[in-house]
Amino acid sequence: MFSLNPLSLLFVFLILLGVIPNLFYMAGYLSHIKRKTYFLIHYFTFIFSMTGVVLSNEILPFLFFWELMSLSSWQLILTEPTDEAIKAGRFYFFMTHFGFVFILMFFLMLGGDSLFTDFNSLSHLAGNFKYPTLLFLLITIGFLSKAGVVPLHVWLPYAHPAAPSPVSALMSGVMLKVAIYAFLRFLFIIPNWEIEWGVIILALGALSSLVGVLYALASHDIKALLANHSIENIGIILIGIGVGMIFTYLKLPELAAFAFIAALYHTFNHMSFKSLLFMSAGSVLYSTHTKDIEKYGGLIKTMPITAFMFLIAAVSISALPPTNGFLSEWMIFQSMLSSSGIDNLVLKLSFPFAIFALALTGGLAVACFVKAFGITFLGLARSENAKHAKEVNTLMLIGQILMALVVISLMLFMPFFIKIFNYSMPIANIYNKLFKNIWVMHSLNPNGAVTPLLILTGLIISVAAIYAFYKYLNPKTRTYHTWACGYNTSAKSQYSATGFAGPIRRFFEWLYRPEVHTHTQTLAGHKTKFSSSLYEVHIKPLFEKSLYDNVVKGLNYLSYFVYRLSHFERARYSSLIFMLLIFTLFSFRVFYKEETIRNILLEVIVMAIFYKFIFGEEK
Amino acid sequence: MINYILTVLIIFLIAPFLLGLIKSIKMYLLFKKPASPFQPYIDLMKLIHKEVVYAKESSIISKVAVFMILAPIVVVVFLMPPVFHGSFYISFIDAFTITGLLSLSTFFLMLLGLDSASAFGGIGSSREAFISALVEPAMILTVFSISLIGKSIGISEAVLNLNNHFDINHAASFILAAISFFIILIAENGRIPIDNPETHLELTMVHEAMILESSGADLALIEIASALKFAIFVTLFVSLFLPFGANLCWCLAVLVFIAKLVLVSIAVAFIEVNTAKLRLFKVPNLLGIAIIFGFLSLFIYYVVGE
Repeated sequence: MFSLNPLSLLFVFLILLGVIPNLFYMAGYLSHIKRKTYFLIHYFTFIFSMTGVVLSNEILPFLFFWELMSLSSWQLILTEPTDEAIKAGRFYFFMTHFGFVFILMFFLMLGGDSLFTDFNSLSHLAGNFKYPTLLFLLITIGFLSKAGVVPLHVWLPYAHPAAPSPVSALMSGVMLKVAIYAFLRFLFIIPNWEIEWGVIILALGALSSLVGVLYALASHDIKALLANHSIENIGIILIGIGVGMIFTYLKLPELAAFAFIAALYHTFNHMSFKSLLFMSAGSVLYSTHTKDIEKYGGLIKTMPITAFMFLIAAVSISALPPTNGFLSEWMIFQSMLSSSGIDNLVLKLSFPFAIFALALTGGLAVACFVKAFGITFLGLARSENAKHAKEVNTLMLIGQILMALVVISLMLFMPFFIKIFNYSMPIANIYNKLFKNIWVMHSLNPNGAVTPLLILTGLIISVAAIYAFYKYLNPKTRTYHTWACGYNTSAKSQYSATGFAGPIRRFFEWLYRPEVHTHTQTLAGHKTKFSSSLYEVHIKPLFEKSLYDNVVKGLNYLSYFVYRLSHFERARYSSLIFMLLIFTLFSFRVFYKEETIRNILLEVIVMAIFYKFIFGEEK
Repeated sequence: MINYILTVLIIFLIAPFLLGLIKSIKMYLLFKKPASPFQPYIDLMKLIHKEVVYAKESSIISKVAVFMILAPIVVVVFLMPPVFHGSFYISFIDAFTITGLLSLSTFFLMLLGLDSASAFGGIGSSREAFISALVEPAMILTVFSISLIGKSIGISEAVLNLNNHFDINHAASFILAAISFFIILIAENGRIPIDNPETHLELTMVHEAMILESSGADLALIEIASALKFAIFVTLFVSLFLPFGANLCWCLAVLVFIAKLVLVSIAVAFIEVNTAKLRLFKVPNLLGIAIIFGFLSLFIYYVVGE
């Protein structure tokens, strides 16, 4: 029923790393939650079910735990049943079951005779399956809709922020990784990959990373910003997986192993810093009671530890050296640079596009986290709530510090982590090639290498040297107002988050299509002087507008039709059932190969008469 | 090892001179009485002895950021490719590490801008975030292309390979990459037409706006950082795209290296005199050219073959 294979154990390790700091944090956060028993039951069920998904080795347990994971997280979103949360919960419920249908179809097609088929024999069945591409598409839609890949990501920025902060951290940090685990697990069950699969995953990854970071830049709700960033990071992980799949197809096992290890490493890194970010953002939310980033400001003075934790995570997620986020992105870049071994020119030319997407994502991520950190923690308080914010309680701080330790140890003990990743990705044993000694990680390209420890030491030494020089100078210091052209510096005169993202929003206007509301109350007789003014920008995600809204509209229309039929017009409803029965009966001819034009014509006439007879005239 | 330290020292010492040189050439071309190219050294000495004024609104970030702006750039100087053959160098450092360290410096510079609650700082940070986000892909594509031409991901190794054997088949992608890198050089260092280092007008400033609240020794450290950053980019440009002279004897090689640095600085000065600053929303067009050239350079490399 359960199995302890290396990949499962690796993800159990990931869950442990993600959950232990979260428990402390949750214990501190608990006073904020009204329905405590309800919350705790679902919280522990959620953790239990994620472990179950990762460990289970048969179809039914897997599906059971998967569904339990979805349902418990759905209930956790509804912990504080505000209108917003209920809407988000409904959306999440629908999307997660949309994915579940595809997962179910995958197992039904492949499952053989028993629901207790274990995954090893599933692998044999997949080998004999006629249309492996169909299987691939099913798991792609099924699992990646849970992981939040464009265009199936729309629920994510609603669902993750709606939950209480410890749960947001778990959902973004751990649950998305469980989806990645499931995707990898079943990907490796299907033998004989096609090259197109890798390209599809690579393209999806590149698209997700760009879309995720662009919408993160435009969000003003700090948790939605982080949730959008999860989409970006899942995209980066998928770029790694896609490159690995392409190299596997091309029979370059070492390069493939390198790319998969990079993807797994980024999975771990994203778990660590995204959990930390959600915890810190949750602490800010805890003490300011608002999610709106425009209401923050100056929190570093009152919440220094939280600010420092957020800064560590922000530097790491922006992929700045020598942090762990940088190391895994470096590995993914390096694996894409190994494309010179490929003979196929078209494929070769497609790699620069992925490199471009990843590099642009990196640049925009820096902008995004300067915005998130700078507007939240720096400057002056923009609201009363932010002015009276206090540092959160010790338990929440312990949770954050523990997670920060995970972030830092992922950087410092990189060789150890790479070793266990390689152990769980047994395509090729490349650990010894990567680490000739444990200080330097080589890539498989000539002369590509990175040394986090060397860079870190270099940074520390140069900071120390500059500081010593500075102390030697011993400059006189004085404190004075910020210069504001002779006016007083106030909270209103500093840059807002909307303003900070302004240039980028304007450049990507074709994507954002912002709705701008302005309102100005001018003083009589003056065009440029005004007593009050308002500027608001609303951005509705393009994918939601173009892909989902019409579907929702159509479904609404249909459901209204069915509703009307079944509630107000019973006669018509039952006659419809009758018509369907006749139709089914007639259709059986097809199986007996007795369909002739004459018969079909006759039946159509019979059905038309019945229709006329039963439905009668329109009233 | 002595050679290595010598190279690093040259870059450290010559960095303010290059900026001063650009300024004096510009002044000369504009029929002004040119300032001495050594003026930046005098300015730095003056700033170091002035008192530091911290804004009341600012936090600890203002005090820490200064070190975090300079430190990554100092580290990058130590990773520069060798000036002449046989000198010690750190072989494996690639474009991502260098770009990343420079981004780390920019990250803290942007935080410094936001810290003092001034509208100017916000302006600068916001614009810098916009520009540097677009520069990053151009930089990575270009350096990737040149390191393919140089047959090594490590920049130093690529420089030596280019010096020893320049493959004429890849001249086209080489030139495209060079143009692209030159645009990046201008964009990353805030020169005209992207940013004007001499103005303090809120419509135009980017870099100056972020450091408006810094003063005294803090400002001196930031000025050193920006001078070093310019020196780093010029060094990268001359070692990667003017690959000759490294095989000469060491004194000649150093002279050639300095001559190349001066030459590039003069080119930057000429561009500054002959162009006007672009509007902020026209900047992506220029950076778009850099990105497209980076792409083209890679494509041509792949089509021509190894």
